[in-house]
Amino acid sequence: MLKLLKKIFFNDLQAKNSKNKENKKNPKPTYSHIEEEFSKCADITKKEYPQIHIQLMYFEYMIAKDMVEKVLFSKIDKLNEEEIESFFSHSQFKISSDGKEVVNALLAGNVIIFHQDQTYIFAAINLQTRAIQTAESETIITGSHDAFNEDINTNLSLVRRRVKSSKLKVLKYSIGKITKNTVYILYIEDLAKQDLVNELKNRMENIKIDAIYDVNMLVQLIEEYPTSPFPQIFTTERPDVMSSKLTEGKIIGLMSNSPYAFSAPATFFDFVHSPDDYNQRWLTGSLIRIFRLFAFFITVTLTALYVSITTFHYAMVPELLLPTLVKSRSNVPFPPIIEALIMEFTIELLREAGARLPTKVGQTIGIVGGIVIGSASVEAGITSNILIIFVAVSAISSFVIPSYVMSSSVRIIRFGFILMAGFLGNLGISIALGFLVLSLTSLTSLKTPYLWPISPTHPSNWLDTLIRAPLSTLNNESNISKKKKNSNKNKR
Amino acid sequence: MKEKLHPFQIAVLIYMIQSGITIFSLPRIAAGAFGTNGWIGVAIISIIPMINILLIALVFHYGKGRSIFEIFEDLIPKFLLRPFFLCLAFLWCILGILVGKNFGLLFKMLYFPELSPTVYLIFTLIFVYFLVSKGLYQIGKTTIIFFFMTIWSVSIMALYVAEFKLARLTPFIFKGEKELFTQGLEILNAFLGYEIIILIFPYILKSRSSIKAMFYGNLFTTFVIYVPICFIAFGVLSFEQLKNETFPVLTLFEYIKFPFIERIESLIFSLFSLKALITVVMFYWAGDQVFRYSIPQIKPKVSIIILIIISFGISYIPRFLLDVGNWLKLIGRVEAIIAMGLPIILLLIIGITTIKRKRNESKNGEVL
Repeated sequence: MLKLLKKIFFNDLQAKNSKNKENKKNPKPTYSHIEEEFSKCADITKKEYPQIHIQLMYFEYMIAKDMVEKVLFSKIDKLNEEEIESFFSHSQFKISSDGKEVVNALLAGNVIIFHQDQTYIFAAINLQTRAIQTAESETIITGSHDAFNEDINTNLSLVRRRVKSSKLKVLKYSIGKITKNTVYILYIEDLAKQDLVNELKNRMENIKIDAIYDVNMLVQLIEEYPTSPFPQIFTTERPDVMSSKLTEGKIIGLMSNSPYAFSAPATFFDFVHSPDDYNQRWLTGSLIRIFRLFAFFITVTLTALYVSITTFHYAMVPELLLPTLVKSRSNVPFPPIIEALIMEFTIELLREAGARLPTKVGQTIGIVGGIVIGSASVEAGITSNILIIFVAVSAISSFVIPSYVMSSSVRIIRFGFILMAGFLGNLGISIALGFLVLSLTSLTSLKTPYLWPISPTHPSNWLDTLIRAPLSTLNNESNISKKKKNSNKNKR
Repeated sequence: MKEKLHPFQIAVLIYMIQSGITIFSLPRIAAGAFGTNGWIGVAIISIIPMINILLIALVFHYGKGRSIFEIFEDLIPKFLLRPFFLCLAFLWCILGILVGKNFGLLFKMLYFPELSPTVYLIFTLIFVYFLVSKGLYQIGKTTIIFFFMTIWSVSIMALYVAEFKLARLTPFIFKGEKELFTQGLEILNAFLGYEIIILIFPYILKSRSSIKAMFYGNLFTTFVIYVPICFIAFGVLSFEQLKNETFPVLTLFEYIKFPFIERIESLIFSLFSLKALITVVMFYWAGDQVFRYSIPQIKPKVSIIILIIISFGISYIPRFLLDVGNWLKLIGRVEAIIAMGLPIILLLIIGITTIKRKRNESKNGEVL
C-alpha cells in the first residue's frame, strides 16, 4: 500500500517536475516571458499601443524599416478594437504558441506582436548583405566573375540560376547550439550516389558544436582525417565551380553567413583544377593544368633539392655553374639546411604579412621583402643568391595552386622535405616523397579515395584529370552518365 | 565490402616487385652469364618466370580462386602446415629486410658515406608497418603512384640513341667467358618476387583479366624495362666495360648532362628506393599473411610488429655489403625453389583432391 502510494505520489511529482522543466525550457510566448528572455538587451525595441492592447518587440536594425512602417506601424496606428481580429487574420501574420520559435524569429529579424493571449510573428527581415561581387581568393581571367556572399539565400539562388533542374534537391540543417547557422545540402538526385548523401546527412546530424562561423570551419567537422595536412573537402567562393560539382554527381553545402561553399567527395585534383581550364581552348587548358601539377612538385621539392645538392651531392652541379655556386655559398656561415629554413620562414612571414595588410601596403611588403631583404641578405652574407632564386620559384609555384587551403598545406609539407634533404640528401627527398604518397593514398573524402582516378586507377577518367580533354569528349550526355556510373562504381 | 585489386594494379604490382636495384647491374650479369649479346639471354631467362606465372594461373583456375591455405588444407592437416608457413614467413621477411639493407648499403657506398643503413631501414620499416597494416588494397594504391613516379626515369635511356653503335653488339651471339648456371640464376633473381601473387587470390577483382595482368606485368618488366636497358647498355658500352663495371646502368646515367644539372644518377638511384620499398613491403605482406595463418590468435597489427622486430634483429647479422649479397644469393636460390615448387605442389594437391572427390562421389553413387 505504502509502495503504491509512493509510486503514485512520486510518479505524479516526477511528471509535474518534468512538465515544469519543459515549461521552463519552452515557456508560452507571452510578452513578459520574452521580455525576461531578452532582459539586459539594450538593443531591443519595444513598442506599445495601450489603447488597443498591442505590444511589439523587434530589433530595429534587423527589420526592413520602410516596409514595416508602411505595412504594419501606420496601419496599427489607425486600428480600433473591432478591426484587430480581421487585421491579424492576414497571411503575413503567423500565430505561434511556441516560445522557442518566437525567440528564434525575433533573433532572425522579425517583429513579434502580442495581443491579449496571442503572439504573432510578422516577417520583416532585412539583413544588410554584401552585393554579389567578384571572387577575391579565386580570380579567373575568362568566365563568370560572380562569387558567393554571406547571404545563404543569395548563394542558393546563384546555384539555382545555373542548375535549373527539379532534380536539384536541398536539405536544411541548423548547426551550432548558440550560433544556429542554416546549412543547405544540395545534390542532383540521379547523379549523386545515395550512399554518399546518407553518409553526409549522418555526419551533419552528428555535429555537436556551440558556435561555428564559416564553411571552412564546418568542413573540418565532417572530414574523415582531421589530423592530415591535406584538406579533404573542397571549398570555394565560386558558384560556377559549385554548379559544375553538382553536375559531376557531388554533394555541395552552403552555410549562412559564409561566402564559401563546400563540395564532397573531393579528390586531390579538385584542388589543382581551375575553372579557367574549361574556359580556355582544350590545348591551352591542358598545358596549364600540366604546368600546375609540375608546380606542385616544384614547390614541394625545389628548395629541398638545393639543400640536398649543396650538402651532399655537389657532383650534380654542372662544371660551369659550380664556381658561381661555390662563390655564392662561400660567404654564408650557415649550413644549407639552416640557410634554406631561414629563407623559407622569411617568405612565409612575408606572405602572411602581405595577406593580412591592406592591398596597397601588402604590395609594399612584397617589394620590401622580395627585393630589399632579398638582395640585402645576399650582400650581408646570410644567404646565397642561388637559394633566393630557388625559394622564390618555389614560393611562386605554390601560388599557382588555385585552392588557398591546398597551397597552404603544400607550403607546410615543404619544410618536412627540406629537413629530410638536410639529413639524408636525395634519399631523404625520396623518402619524403614516399611519405607524401603514403599520406595521400591513405586519405579518403566521404569514403572516396583521395587520389581517384589515378590510384585506384581508372584511365577512362584521366581525360579530365591530368589534362583537360576537348569539351565534346567530356561534356556530352553519354559521358555524364558514364561518369556517374564510373564514379558510383569506383569511388570506394 | 572488401576492396579488391584492379587488374592494372596487379600488373603494376608484379613489375614493381620484380624490378629493383638489380636493374643497375643487370647488363653486367647478363654479359657474365651469356657473353656477347647477353641481352638476348635476359629475354630467354624470362621464359622461366613466365612458365611459373602460368603455373600460378593454373592454381588460380583449378583452385577456383581459393586461397592457398584452403587448397593445402584439403590434403594436409593444419598442424603440419603451420610450421611450414612459419618458416616461409620468416624467410620472406628476412628476404624483405635484406633487400632494404642491401639498398641502404649500396647508397652509402655510392653516394652517401655518412648514411647509416639502420636509419634507412627504420624509415623503410615505418612504411612497411603503415602499408602492411592497412592491407593489400592500400599497398596497391601506393604502388600505382610509385610506378608513375619512377617509370619516367627509364625513358632517359633514350638519350643514348646517338651513342648507340650496332657494331658493339657484334654478330657473335653468346661468345666469351660464360657462367651460365651461377650468373643465370642471378638473372632469374632479378625476376623473382612475382611468386608472392600466389597469395593474392582472395583479393582479385576480375579473375580472367587479373591472370592476364600477371603475364602483362612480367612481360612489361622483361620487354619494356630489362631487355631494352640491357640492349642499350650492350650497344653503348663495350663488352669488357660491361663485365668490369659493377653498375653499368648507373655508369650510363653518369654521362647524362643537362645544362643545369648533371650526374643525375644519384637522384634516380634515390628514386629507385621507392621501387625497392614496394618489394620490401610485399615480402613483408606475404610474410604477415602466412604468419597470421600459422598463429591465428595473433592480432593483425601485432603480427607485423613482431615480424619487423625479429627481422630487424636478424638484419644485423650480415654487416657488410658482401655479406648481405651472399645472404641474398642464398635466400634467392631458396626463393627460386619456392617460386617453382609452391604452384607445382598446389597443382598436385588440387589434382589429388579432385581425384579423391570423384572417387568418393562414384562410391557414394554405387552405394546409393
